[in-house]
Amino acid sequence: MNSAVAIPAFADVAGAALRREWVSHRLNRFLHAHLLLILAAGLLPLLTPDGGLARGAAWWVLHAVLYAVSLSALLLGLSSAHAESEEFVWLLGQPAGIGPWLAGKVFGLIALAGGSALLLGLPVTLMGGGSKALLLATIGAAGVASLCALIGLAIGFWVRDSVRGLIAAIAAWLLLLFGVDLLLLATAGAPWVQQNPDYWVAALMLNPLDAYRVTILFAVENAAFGSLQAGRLTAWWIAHAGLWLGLATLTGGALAWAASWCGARRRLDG
Amino acid sequence: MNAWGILLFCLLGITSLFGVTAGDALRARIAGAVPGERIVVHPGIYEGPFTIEKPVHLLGEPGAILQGDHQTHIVVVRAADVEVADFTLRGSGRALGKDDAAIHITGARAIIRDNRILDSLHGIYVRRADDCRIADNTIIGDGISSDRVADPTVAPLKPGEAELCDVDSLQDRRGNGIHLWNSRGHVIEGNHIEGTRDGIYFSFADATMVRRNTIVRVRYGLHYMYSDDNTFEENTFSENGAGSALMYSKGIVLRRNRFHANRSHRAYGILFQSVDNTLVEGNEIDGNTLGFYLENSNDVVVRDNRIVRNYVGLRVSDSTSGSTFVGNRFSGNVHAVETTGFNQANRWSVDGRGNSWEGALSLDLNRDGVGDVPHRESDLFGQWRRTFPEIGLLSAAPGERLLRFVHSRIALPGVPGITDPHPLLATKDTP
Repeated sequence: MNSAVAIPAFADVAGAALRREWVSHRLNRFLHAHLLLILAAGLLPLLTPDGGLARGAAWWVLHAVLYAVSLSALLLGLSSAHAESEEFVWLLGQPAGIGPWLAGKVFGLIALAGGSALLLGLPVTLMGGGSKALLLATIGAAGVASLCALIGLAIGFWVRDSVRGLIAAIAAWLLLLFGVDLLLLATAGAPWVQQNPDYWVAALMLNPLDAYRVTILFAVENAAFGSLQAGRLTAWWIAHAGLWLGLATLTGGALAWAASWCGARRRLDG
Repeated sequence: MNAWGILLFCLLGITSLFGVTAGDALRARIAGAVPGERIVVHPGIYEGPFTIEKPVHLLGEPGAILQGDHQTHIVVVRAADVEVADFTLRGSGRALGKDDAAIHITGARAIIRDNRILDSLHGIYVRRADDCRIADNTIIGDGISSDRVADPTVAPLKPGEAELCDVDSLQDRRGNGIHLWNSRGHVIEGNHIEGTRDGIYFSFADATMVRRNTIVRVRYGLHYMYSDDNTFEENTFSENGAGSALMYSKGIVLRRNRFHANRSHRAYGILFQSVDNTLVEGNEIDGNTLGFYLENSNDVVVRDNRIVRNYVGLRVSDSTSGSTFVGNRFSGNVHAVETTGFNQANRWSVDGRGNSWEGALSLDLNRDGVGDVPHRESDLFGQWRRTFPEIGLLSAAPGERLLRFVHSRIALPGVPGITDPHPLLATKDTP
């Protein structure tokens, strides 16, 4: 009698985890709130007066992502991690390990958060207000929402207590939204910073919310930034804003995935 | 074709057999006309140039084309009280030094109306002739120039006859739609100007009314200096490379104009440099890179304008003083106001009424439409714009917005900006 346990293929486990993620989120109130938010944010630009729809829509999407969708996606990821908290012992005991299971979960979250964010630009496009800036804003929104969801997932795996996790997630969001900007504003007058502006700009580029905001500003207000006679790094960023946003979200997503993997391997809080 | 048409056709054919062109015939008619005569020109192509040296009315029928020789002006108006109307004019010379134009006017009280001007250097050039009326013409240039426009605040515009035609390259040989030099008392209305070098150019041109013109896709929509006591009403200046620049002048009225989508990297909705005693009222300044810039301009009244959706709504240098800003609506600008200091030499409210600001605290206990607490509109970046231009990357950042919000409620020390003591709360009566 052969007692060896057959280890399922990576793709099989990942696929199963993805389907499980999809099914479990159907009842997740965070997802319902997230979708409602996306719907409202997508429809609000239609109220833009005076034919300013094409330009105004990208602005709406930008602000919706910064102030609402990013937080909503973060909480979606957090809830996804916490949903598994009672089954960690069982999951960690599976012969396939947590790698494929986490991969399925990550792709499920990306499909939910990123896919739903793509709907932000749909109403305006259907009403004939589509533009290059709106397309960029929508694709960027999908990337940022996916990244935020993965950050929430990582936080959820590291801080498994629901209340502490919620506090940690909101603190992380506030840091990304306001903290980096305030820190950079506070240091902008320092002589060293003014002599070495590329370090200051690099910090701005590394914050995904700032990277997204500046990319959309470059697209909508590109004339204003065209005259910004700043350093080489800024010039490169202005010329390759979309590319950088893509790289930043992909790298950030990979780091969040890795952090999730490390967090999921932990057995207990503290 | 009616009998007159057949007769004209035969005449043209016969005259051409003897080496006399349609243009020659028209020149002969002009030369032989008595003062005040109406010269009606039938459809056809008439080879110019034409010089009018007596007060006549040269009126084209639909299809009458005055064709230039690509060497000089097409029509030269030397006498007073000449009217040129209802023609298509095309093919003036392109000599910048000679100010070649489709219609070149040195006679007073000329009426130039309902013409269509194409393929010319300047469209209509008025030189030392007063009281002209230029109405309902369409002037189409060769296309918008590249956006390499010098910033007029850094390299000021120069006064003179043809200084605007200093070209960067031989390819950019374009003139202005309407060029006024050293004259006064004109009425310019209902014209459409597109794709010329500058739309309307004023230099030493006073006491002129400019209304209901549309100027799009040129370099400067309005290029204006050393010209006093002029009025601009209900004009539209949009999609121009550098916007509208008014310099070294006084006594101007800008009322109910629209300055829209002037969005190159050095574009202004309106630029005032050393403009004094001027009224700016009821205009819409919408979607420009810099909506309204006042530099070294004194005693300007800026009243009831909509300054919306610009990258920078209003930039007021500290060299501007004695000016009043009241009843204006600021909305949807990335930066509502930029200053170089605290701007205490200007007034931001009159008789208890200030301006309408996006984000102002809506505290109005007596419900008079005026906020009960002053509104502080801060410019957090201040002098850093010059010493550390990267600071512009924090435009519209949540952190910057948060600090501005805090500053509007609690005055943070050392933050430049302006204070409106009586902010208007948005109502249906707000402009």
